Amino acid sequence: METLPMKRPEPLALSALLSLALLFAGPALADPAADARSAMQGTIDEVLKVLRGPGSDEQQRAQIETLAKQRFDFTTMSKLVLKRDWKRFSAPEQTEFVTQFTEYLSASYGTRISRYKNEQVATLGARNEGNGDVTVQTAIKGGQFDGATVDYRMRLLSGKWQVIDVVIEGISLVSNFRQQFADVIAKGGPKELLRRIKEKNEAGIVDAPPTSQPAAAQGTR
Amino acid sequence: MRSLLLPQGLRAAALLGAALLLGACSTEQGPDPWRPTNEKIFRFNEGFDKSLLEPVAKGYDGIMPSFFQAMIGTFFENLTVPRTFVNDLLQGKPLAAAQDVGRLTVNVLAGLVGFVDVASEIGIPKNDEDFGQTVGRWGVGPGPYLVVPFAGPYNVRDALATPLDIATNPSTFVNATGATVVRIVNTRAQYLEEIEQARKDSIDFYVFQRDAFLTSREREILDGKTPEIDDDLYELDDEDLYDLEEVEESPTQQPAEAQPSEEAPADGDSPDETP
Repeated sequence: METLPMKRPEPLALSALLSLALLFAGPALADPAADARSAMQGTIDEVLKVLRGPGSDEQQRAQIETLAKQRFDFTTMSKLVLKRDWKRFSAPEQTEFVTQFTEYLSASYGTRISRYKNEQVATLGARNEGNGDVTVQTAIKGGQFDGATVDYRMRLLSGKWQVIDVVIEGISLVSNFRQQFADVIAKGGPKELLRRIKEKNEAGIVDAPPTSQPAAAQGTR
Repeated sequence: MRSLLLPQGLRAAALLGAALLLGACSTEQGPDPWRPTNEKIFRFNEGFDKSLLEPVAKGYDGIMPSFFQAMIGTFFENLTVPRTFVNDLLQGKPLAAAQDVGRLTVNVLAGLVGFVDVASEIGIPKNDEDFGQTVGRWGVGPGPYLVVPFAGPYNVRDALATPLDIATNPSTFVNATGATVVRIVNTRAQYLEEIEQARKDSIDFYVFQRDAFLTSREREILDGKTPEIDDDLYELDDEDLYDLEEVEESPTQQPAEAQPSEEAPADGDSPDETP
């Protein structure tokens, strides 16, 4: 029975199969970690360029805030931070929350980052998370905070890698704010939380001169 | 930096308090079962810091060049190397222990009796271990969160381990109150901006500080590795409920309620203004 009529075509079939597999696997083989990393790297490079470029502190901070708004998905962050409490917010309250929280976070990020004028940021790597997210790991080089780690948790949202959490020295913004907010909501409801965030935004998280921060477009007294 | 703000006598008192409390409570209700008491002490500490320590540190910062501040910081840091050495041994890290010996020797001999960190210049890594971390590594949990007068955030495990930290610090055996004051003020001066920023950044500074402390202690036990974050944190709750449109691109649409006056408090239930 050693005629083996079947054996001949095998290599051919195999290679056909292989190329077919490759064809379909092509997109899937793209490495999400690498994609997310290069996306984040792009934003970091732009931020550093702003910091080293011309312009007053105020102007730079505004530019950085704009960059942050492009790379961070503040809506998702808002939902994650509020988690179950999100339901307790009415639709307009939700909208208001996202607006205020975006303002609040980007101002705070802008101030923090702008202090790292003379430091470098090293991208250390990127890690695939169980749920398809990617964590991009970076560290500050030089200065007082040499070696401090800043991890960006990223998610592919409508085709774009977006930051959904920042973990500074192991402390997750989402987790930290969730704890802070849960308490306020438990005691005073959504209104109280909104009031407090607005208060922060109006006072200016940053020590900005009074003229700056046109972002809070409300009628400031 | 955890224990830097704590004068020795107070540590003992704090510890006693911790031990008493430990006997009285279980840890069922999350990391902070003693919150009401903790919050009172927290407010006391904030008051102390804002009215005395911070202004003094600011004044000090104004006259003391940061170059000297760093040197003083290095000196006191070197005093903790024996503690780190013992704990490296207890954690089975002979290599790290050898580094500690090398670090202290180099810094004392070549670094002006410990004021200059020559060891780091020549690439000897800086380790940081204490007895709380060692017991933590052995599997002892942190126990309840604890705010100690003048000292700030602690947990019961670390508070109980603190006497051993003190016993392995050479400065304990010298009666030098002046030096202790310098150490406290010098340390505080190095965190002026950070703490101010954190106060401004947080909606609830108490909660912020608690989370930051507990997480960073966990991280120290893991020698700087970020503790694993549960994927649950990043799971959206019940997709259908999110009927929110993307609002980022249209900042013009403010709900009418947001407009009239910035203070418009919710129906009378918002008495506590953050100072």
